[in-house]
Amino acid sequence: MEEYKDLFLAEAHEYLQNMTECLLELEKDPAALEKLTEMFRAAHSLKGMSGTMGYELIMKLTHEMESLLDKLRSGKTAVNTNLANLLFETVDLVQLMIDNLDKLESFSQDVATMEEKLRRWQDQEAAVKDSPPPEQAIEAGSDKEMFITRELNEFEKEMLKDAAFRGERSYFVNVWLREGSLLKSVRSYMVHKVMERHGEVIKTFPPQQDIEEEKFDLDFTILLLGKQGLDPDELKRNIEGIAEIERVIITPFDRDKQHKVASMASKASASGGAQGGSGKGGAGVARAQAAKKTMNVTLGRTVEKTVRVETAKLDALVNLVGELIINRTRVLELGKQLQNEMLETSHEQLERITTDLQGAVMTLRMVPIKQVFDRFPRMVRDLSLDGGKGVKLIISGEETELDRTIVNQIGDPLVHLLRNAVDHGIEPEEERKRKGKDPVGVIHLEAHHEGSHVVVSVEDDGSGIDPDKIKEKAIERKLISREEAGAMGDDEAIRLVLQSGFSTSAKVTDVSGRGVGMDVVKNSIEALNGTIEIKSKLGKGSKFILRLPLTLAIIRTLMVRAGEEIYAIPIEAIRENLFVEPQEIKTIQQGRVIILREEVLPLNCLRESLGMGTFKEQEVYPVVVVQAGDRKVGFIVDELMGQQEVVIKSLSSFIDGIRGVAGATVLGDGTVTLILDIAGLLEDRRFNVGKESVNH
Amino acid sequence: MLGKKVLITDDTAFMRMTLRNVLVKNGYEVAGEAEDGLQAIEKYMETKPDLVTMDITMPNMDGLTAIKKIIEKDPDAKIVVVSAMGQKALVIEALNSGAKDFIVKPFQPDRIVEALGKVIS
Amino acid sequence: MIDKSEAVAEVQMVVFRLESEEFAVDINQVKEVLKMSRVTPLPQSAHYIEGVINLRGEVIPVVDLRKRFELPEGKRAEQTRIIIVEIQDSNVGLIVDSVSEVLRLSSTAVQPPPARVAGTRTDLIRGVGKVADRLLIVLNLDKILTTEEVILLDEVVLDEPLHK
Repeated sequence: MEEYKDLFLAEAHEYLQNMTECLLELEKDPAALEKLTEMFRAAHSLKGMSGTMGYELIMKLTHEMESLLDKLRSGKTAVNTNLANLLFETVDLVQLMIDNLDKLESFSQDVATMEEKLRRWQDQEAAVKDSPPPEQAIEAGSDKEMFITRELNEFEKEMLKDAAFRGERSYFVNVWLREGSLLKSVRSYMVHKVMERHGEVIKTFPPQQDIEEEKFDLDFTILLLGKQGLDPDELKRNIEGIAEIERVIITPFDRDKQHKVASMASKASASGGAQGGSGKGGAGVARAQAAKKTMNVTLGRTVEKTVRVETAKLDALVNLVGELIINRTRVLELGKQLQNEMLETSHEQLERITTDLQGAVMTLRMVPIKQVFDRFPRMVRDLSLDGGKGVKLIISGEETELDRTIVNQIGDPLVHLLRNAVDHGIEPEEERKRKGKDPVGVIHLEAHHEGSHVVVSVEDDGSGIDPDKIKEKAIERKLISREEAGAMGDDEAIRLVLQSGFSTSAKVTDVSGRGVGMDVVKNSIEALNGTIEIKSKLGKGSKFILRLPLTLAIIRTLMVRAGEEIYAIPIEAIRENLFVEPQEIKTIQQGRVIILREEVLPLNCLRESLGMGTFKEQEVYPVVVVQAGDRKVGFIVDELMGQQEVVIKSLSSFIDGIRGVAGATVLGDGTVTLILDIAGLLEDRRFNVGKESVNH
Repeated sequence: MLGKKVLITDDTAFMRMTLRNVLVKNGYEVAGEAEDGLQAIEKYMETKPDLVTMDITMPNMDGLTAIKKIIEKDPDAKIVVVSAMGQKALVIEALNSGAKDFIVKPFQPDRIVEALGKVIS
Repeated sequence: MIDKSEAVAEVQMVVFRLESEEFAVDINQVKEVLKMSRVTPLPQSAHYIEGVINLRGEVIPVVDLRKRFELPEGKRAEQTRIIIVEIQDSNVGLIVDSVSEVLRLSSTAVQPPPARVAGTRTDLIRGVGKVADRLLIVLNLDKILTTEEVILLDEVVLDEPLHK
C-alpha cells in the first residue's frame, strides 16, 4: 500500500480542494444542487480511497460526511452558514489527518465529536422530510464504462440489443499493462487480436486512435460483443497470456444499468437537478473492488494526456540544461577563435536548438498560479467572518503560469497581503456606509504575464494608506528623522511600511498581527528576484503589485566591466544604456548627476559603489541606467560587454547575504562572475540614489 | 522452464551474450546462437528448440523473413521478436506473421523472463 | 616505536606553510589541493575573503589564511596553493604559501593550546603538534569563516614553551 501513498495524498488533496470550492459556491447559491452532488462524489471517493489505504478514521469521517451530503441532496434544508461551517470544519479535519497520516490515532476523539455533529444534522434533515432511502452512489469506478456507454451511437446500441436478444453477451474488458511497458501500442494490438478471436470490439476508452498513439497511461477499456458461448474466464486467461499484462478485469455489460447511470451522470453534470431513476441495478458492483478502482480510474483520468514526473527529476533536467548552456557558450567562444565557417554554421544551429531546449525545459517547470490562489477564497471568507466585515474576493488570471519554485514561495507573502487587506484595508461596514461605499468590501487578486515577468496584485477598495500617519509612525519608531520626513514624498513615505520594524496595525489581531511585518513580504519577494510596488489613494484603497520573474535558474544579463572585473547585471533591472560625455555631468551636493529627458538621474561609479576602486576621468562614460522599485540611477562602468544568458549559481552559505550580490555565474572561460543585485545595491544608505529632494 | 531449449538470434555478440546470461540464469538451456535469419532457420531445423528469440534487423536475412520461413516449416514454432524502440510497424508485422510475443531492447531481465515464460506455457 | 595499544588514535594531517610557521589540518577535511588560480573578488565581504572560484561548476569562497591570521600580506608565488576543505558540508578554499607534506600524527602528540591562549581565542586552534623538533599548529576549521575573533598567531606560537 505504501507505494500508493503519494498518489493517495495528491488525489485526496484534489478532492478536498474540490469540496472547498463547492462549499463556497453553495454558500453563494444554496440551490446549486450539482455542487452538492459533486461534493457528495468527492466524499464518496475519499471514503473509498482511505478505506483501501486502511485509514479507518478518515474513512469513518468521510462516510458521515457522505451520508449527510446525500440527505441534503434529497432533502429540503438549504446550505446555510452554520452548515457550511460544519462542513468546512470537517474538510479541515480530514486535511489535518491527511497531513498527519503517521499519527492518525490521535484524532480519534476529534473524529468522534465531528461524527456526532454530522449525525445530528442528518437527524434534523430526516425530521424535515422523511425521505425514502437515497439513490445509491454512482460507482466512480465505472467512469470509463460510462464514457463508452455514452458514446455509443444508435447503430451500435441496436447491435448490442440484437445480440443480447440472440443470447450473445457483451463485456467491458479493462486491461492493465505493467508499469514501464514499452511499445504499449503493440501490446494493445496483441490484446485486440485476442479479443477479436472472442468477439467483436465495439468501442474502446480511450478511443482506438489514442490507444494506437499510446495516449494512455497503463490501462484501457474495451467493450466487447462476445461470440456465442464466450467464456469470460477463458478470455481473461488468454489476455493474461500476453507478456507484460498486469491485470484484466472483465465486467458484464448491462445495457439497462449502463444506460441509466450514464444518463444520470450526464444530467447531473449538465443541469444539476437530476435525482436519477431508481437505479437499483447500480448498487451491485463489488464494494471491495470499488475503492481500489476509484483510485485507478481517477488516476487514469488525470494522466490521459499528462505524465506525473518527480520534481527532483525535473530539477535535474533543468540543471543539466543550465550546464549545457554554459558549455555551449564555451564551445561558441572556441569556435570564434578558430574562424571556421562550417563550424560557425553548426554552432548557430547548436545555439538555436539549445535555446529552444532551454525554453521547453523551463516550461516544464511552469505551473498555474491557481495552486496558490485556490486556498484564498476560503481564507478570505474566514477572515471576513472573524472581522465581522463583508468582503468579496475576486480572483482573475489564476491560469497564469510561472516557475514552480516561485509558486511555492509566493504563498506566504500573498497570505500576508490579503490578511492586511481584510484587516486594515477594508473598513468596518458602518464606516463604509458612512463614507457612501458599498458595505461589502472588494479585494481583487489578479495575475498576468508581462514580458518575462508575472505580475500579481492585491487591490482593495478600503481606506488606503495615509502617508502622514506613516511618517509619524516612522519618526516614532526612529526609522527616519523629522527632517527626512519633511522632505519625503507620499510614495516614498508609503514605501516605509516595507521597512523592518514598521507595522501600521494599531491593534494586533489574531491574523495579521503575528509579528510578521511587511518587510518579510518584501524580503521574500526580493529573494525571488522580484519587486514590490505600492499604490494607494487615501479613502479609495491600496494596491500591492508584485513583479516576479517567470523562471529562476537562468537569467539574461548585461555584462559590464568595472576595473578588472566583469559583472553581470540582470536585464530586468536595466532601463537603458547611455554614453555620457564629461561636460554633461553636473555635481550637486549628493554627488554626480545628469539630466536625462528633463529628469535628474544620479550617477554612481560602479567600481566605487562596490568598493573595488575609484572614479577615473574618461573621455566618455558608458552608463547603465538601472531601476529597482521607483529608484532609478545610472552606473558608470568601464565597458559594456554585451548581453549574455547566465545560469545563476548560489553563493556558498558562508558568504551569501552580501548586499549587492545576487549570486554568481560561471563564464565560458570558467571564471566566476558576480551577478549584481540592483535592488540591494540601491538600498545602501551611503548610496547616491537621488532622493526626491533632488527634483525641482 | 527447466531445461527448455532456446535458440538465440541476433547479429550482435553483445546482445546474444546478454540474452544467454539471462536465460541460463533462469534455468533455460541455450540450444544455439544464430547471427542472421539464414543461420536461424538452419539451426532451428537442426536443434528443434522450444523457443526462438528473433532480432528484426540483421544482415543476409532479416528477422521478419526468417519468422515466416520458420512458421512455414513448423506452424507451432514459438518465436519471440526482439525489437528496438520505434519498430512498432515491424513488430506488428512480425506478430501477424506468427511471432507469439515481443520483447524490447534495452533488455530488462524480468520482462524477458516473463515474456518467454508466458509464451512457453 | 609506538606501542600498538597507544597507536590507536593516529591521525593523518596535511601540513602547509604560512610565513615561517607550519600548520596542519585533518586530511579527512581536505578534498583537494589546487594551484593558485584567478579568484573573483567579492565586494563588501570580510577582509580575509579573497573572493570566489569555480570548482567544477560550484562557486566556492576562498579565504586568504594570511589575512585571517593577521600575518603580513604575502606575494603569490609558484608554490602558492589553494587547499579545498569541507566545512559544515560546504567547500571552502584556503590560500596558503605552500603545501609541504602529509604526516601521520599520534593524537597524543597533539597538545591543547597554551593555557593563556586557550582561555581567550581557541576557536580556530585545536592544539599544537610536535613532530621531532618541528612544531605544527593544528587548526580547527569549523570556525574559520564564522567566528569574528582575530587570531594573532605569534601569541599562540611564542607562548608555546616547546617553541625554539
